[in-house]
Amino acid sequence: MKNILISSITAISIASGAAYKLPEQSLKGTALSAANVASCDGADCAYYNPANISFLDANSQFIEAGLTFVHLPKISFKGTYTILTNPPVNATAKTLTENVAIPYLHYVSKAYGNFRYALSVTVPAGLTKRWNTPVQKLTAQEFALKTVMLNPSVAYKINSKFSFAVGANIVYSEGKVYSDGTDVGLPLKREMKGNSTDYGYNLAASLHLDNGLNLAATYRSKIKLSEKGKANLYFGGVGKKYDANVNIYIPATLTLAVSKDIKQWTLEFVYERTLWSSYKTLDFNYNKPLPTILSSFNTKIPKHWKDTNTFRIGTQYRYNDKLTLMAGYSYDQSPVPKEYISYELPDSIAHVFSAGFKYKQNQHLTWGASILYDYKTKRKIYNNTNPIKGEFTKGGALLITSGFEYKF
Amino acid sequence: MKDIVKILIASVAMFIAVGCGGSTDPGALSQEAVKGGKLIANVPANVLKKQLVTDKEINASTTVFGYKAYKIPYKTIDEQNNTVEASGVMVVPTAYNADEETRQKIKAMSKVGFAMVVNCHGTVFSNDEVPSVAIEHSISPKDDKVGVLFSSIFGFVTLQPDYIGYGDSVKHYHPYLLEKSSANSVVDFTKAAIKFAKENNIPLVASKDIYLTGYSQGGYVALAAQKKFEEDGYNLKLNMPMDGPYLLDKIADKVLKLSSIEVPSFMAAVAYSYAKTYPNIDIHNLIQEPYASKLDSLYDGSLNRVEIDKQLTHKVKGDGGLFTNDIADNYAGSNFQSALQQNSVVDFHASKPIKLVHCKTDNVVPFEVAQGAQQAFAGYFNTNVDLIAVEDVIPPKDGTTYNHASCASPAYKITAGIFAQMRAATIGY
Repeated sequence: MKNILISSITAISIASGAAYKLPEQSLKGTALSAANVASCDGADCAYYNPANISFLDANSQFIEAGLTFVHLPKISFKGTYTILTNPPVNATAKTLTENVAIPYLHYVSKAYGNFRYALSVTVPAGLTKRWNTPVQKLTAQEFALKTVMLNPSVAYKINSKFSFAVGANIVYSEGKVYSDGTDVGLPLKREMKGNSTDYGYNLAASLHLDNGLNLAATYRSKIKLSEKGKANLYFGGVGKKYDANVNIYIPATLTLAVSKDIKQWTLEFVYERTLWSSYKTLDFNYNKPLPTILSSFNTKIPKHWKDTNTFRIGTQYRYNDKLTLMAGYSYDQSPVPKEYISYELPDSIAHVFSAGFKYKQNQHLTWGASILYDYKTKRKIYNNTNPIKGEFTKGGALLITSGFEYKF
Repeated sequence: MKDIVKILIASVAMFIAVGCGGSTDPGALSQEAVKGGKLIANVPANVLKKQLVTDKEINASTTVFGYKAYKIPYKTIDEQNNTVEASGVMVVPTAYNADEETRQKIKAMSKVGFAMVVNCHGTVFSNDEVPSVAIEHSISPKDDKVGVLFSSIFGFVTLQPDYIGYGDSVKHYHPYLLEKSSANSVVDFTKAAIKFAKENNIPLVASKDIYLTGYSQGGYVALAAQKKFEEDGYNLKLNMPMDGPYLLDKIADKVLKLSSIEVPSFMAAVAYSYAKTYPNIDIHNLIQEPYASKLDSLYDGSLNRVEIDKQLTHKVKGDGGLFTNDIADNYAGSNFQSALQQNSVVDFHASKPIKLVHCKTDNVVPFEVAQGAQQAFAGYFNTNVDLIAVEDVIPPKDGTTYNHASCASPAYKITAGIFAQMRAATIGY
């Protein structure tokens, strides 16, 4: 079983959020395009807004588990690439398709006085880009980041309207970087793997007003993933082994949300500010100096990402006591400036459309399914400083989540 | 609360199951397997050519072959007749990423087989500077201009022994300017390299033609090796020693009469290695304190020449000098002189041609040494030895002269050109 789980997310390739964030962490999260903060009302509050758990049925416990299948179609690139000082070469190519499954788990305890506890296991970020074409393999034959987060939280109910929560974020991550320039006459090859366990925190506050208006604010801190492992670096097929490390960031995120219940409807609007600007360089470090011939592996790669805004809107319609229908949309900016866009993450603005349902089987069990389509806009790169010149098209993502919630 | 504990355990178990278990090691290095050695560099022709053109070492029309270097371990015999595990480098020209014309050249050369250049390196004291260590560290020909010249530009297989005391035998003291072990380390390496080539399908010319050379200490070693190559029946085509200290006795005599020397590490190394080799030579009779006690650590392969010179004195003798007054005043007839004479490499009748190459303005090994060697061969052993003055073939830039360091590059170019002419005359390319 363990091997199945590991292999199921080994090739996580996620881009339903900007860059490498994955905001869809539950049945409703997928159905509502993650507009599930102020209005969340189940076990998945453990992830989206733990302050809201104070307002759940005090004598019940909640658990939700599920699986999200992710299909990432090929990203197309049409254009050229300039290798060092050589004339540009044709670099038209497509990534490989990715299909992966990502599990999640959320739990909310009974209330203990004004306190209540929650826990979630999620995959908050991830990335894999695999190219099998000569030019792209030079930098991004395979570029992967896999994460899993354990997120215990505790909420304190100040009064019947206001609650706040704090949580700890324990993130285990694995990184993998493979590149190979042999096919373009630069016989430099890299095989690198690393892992890390890192920590952060999250805060949440919720205000539930009598008129069905809910306000929420959440904050999740930046987590520096200090990937440490080994690197095999080659020139001309002759390799040397190094201890290596590189820092990658899961950015801090501030979320402000408002929801309103209107008869059978619930509407939610979310504004999310993601502080990607902490990602300034990608800097691989080694335990000993590299030979000059391998020095390109030791060069700091400028990133200079920008903070982004995301706007989410979600709606739920309670068709009857058993069936709830859901839909959502989000607009997600890309943090990657055109000067620094690269084959490992050809990110662009996303328009995300989603829908789903949940069905209350009985007083304990609710189940459902949801679907999300992430449409990535065309990204044109004709900046003088970027060796990539051309257009990235297609790509995006299709997510299907199936899950159940058990109340007991 | 029990439920919370159960869920917590389940969640942690899931966290571990999902997250942990990934390797942090991409695995063993995947590179070409070779029998009896190790691939330590493999540079494509196009990359190397671009670098050489950029460095103005060649012009764009020069043919450049790829550069492939193997480290080869082998066994040799030291001065005490002990077996030593030593190492050396074989560089092979390749067609890797070469243009079509160059590929065709390599194909034709491979059909006939490659001739070998055996290059004996000059004096180095740091183990990091010897061929196998320097190339393996840099995985590039950056530190192997000789291998690039002979293999990538002139198309020879280049053999470069590290010598006893360096590379795989770094724990052994280096028998500096000692004839027997110097010759053994070269000839035994050549023998091992020929076997390696056969086992790894590297095409050598059927007649196993050997062109021998070396600069400075390497010039001395090349002459020492010639004697053994001839004794052992190898097909030595030509030997071109460059700027070597062939007349050890005379050089020592001259140095001991000076008041100061520019590079004390050379003569101190001679004294050290001879004292380690000959039981009748006591280092304290040659070198004064505090220097004598330092020599083990100075010559253990961890320091380079500049670092060693800083810990010695430039003053040759007298109070605070490097050498004792005893050896300075009584060199003639001493055990030290006798040992240096025993290690003369100009005391045999060479049946294979020798062309000495030397700079007239060499500041470390004077031109007179080469002239003396030529006379020694001619006068005493009836061997006709040519002497080529580097300046006569490649004059230095106006207003400059060659010193011992700057002489190496033109001397090697002259040598490579003559080797290539002779190869063309014998095997057709």
